[in-house]
Amino acid sequence: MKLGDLFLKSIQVLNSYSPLIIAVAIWELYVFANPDISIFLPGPSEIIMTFGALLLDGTLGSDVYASMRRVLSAIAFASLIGYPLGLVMGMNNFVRWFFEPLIGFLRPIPPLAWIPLSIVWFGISETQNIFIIFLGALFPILLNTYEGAKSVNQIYIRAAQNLGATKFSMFYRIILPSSLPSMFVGLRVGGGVAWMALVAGELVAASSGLGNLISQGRLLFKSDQIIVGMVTIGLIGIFLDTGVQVLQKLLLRWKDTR
Amino acid sequence: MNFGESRVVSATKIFRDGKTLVHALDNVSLSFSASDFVCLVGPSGCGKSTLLNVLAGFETLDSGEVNAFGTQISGPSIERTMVFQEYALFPWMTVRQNIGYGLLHQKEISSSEREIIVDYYLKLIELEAFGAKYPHQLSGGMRQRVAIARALAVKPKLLLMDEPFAALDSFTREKMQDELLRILKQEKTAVVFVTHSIEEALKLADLIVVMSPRPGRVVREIRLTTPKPRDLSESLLVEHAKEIRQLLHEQPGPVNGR
Repeated sequence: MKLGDLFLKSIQVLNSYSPLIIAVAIWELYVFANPDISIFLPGPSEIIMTFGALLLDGTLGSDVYASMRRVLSAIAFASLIGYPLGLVMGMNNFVRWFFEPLIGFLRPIPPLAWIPLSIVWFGISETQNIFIIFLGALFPILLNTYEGAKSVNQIYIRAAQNLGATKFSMFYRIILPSSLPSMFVGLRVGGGVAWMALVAGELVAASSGLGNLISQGRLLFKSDQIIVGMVTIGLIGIFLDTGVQVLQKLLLRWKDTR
Repeated sequence: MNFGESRVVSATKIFRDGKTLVHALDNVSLSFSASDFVCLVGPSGCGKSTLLNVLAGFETLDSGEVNAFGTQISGPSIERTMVFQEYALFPWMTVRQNIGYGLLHQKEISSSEREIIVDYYLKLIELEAFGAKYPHQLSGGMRQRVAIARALAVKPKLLLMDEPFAALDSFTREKMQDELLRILKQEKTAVVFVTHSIEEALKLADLIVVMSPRPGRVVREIRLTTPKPRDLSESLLVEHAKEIRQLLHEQPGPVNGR
């Protein structure tokens, strides 16, 4: 890329973000002009200062770590159950018959509705938190995988049978790769729900994590801390989703993306 | 029993369409030798695709018998491979992987032998430079060549082709017909080829089987001995074309002559 192109490109990027920049500037000016309001809505500069301070004293780092650990272990558990079960449900009528009504009954219950029962079962603990997030991630992963495995184009199955496919080859080289796009959809949706469930769970019952940071901010009437927590949650959400998208691009090179 | 011959004897296949019964195949008999190129010609609903699927082992007969070179057909087999109209290439596999797929299931072929065979077929279909490409990166004609190579790579005794060139534009289609004749000069296999097009049948077939719809029956078998490639303006072939056209037009119901 030539230097001129680079310049043009950065102008374009800047241009696409300019409404956001303008909004932030208005926000800053408004708070500057009305100092009384800053206890409810601190200005961007104050939030950045608080962000820096929380980062420096390690609070933010340990909260991000606590939240990430929860959400990633929950997604790992959800994947461990959701992917194999979804694939088997898509391929086997008996397994489908057995699980479909169970899932149909459990799925509409929002993960957050499980919080009280999960506290009775596990106490306010790491396990309880992970359980709630796990429930949030499980159903999108499970159902999308099931859908993917169920709707493998019949012509691929026929072609594979015709070319002498063994059971293993049919699963590993046909059904699995054909379901992969849906499995990624499941991961992205499930990851999003997990992230929401995490914050909700931590707001109610946790002594660490970003939800707890926000919760503390409310108790101490520190609006800046609340907003720092919120913004961090948003940033990590974008970061995780981008990570999944990169992985998806890598594994689904064969997809026609035109 | 003659092992150099394939036989279809009194094949009958009935589908239920709502309350009415449709005789897709009504007492169809047919035989061809190990080097025959058989074209099944007829309008929609004459049972030609059903017959092909029976030969592939995808569908079973309600009554009658079908064997391929002395072996009773009881299901899909690597000895009878199919080239589908929609190509049915596995989109998640490269051209090389597609061609080599059937060979994976032949235990006596080592992975290095497999690569040699794949190289041979890539050369045969003149796509040496495209081995690492994915199907969506190829044109329709190229895809169909890969599908033919994939079906031939396992050395079938019978190659089944279900209107393989119907989705191609007429120019590519004619090129593919020549290409197929060229490829089959190197590969000794019987072919059963379903088509709507009388010209296509006259160009390719050793034996043309004209079928009529509702019920699906064989109305005429025409053996062609004119050497290939053929000039369709030759008087004998013009006569045959006229005869087939007449047979198809005598029948009640719409005729799709393409």
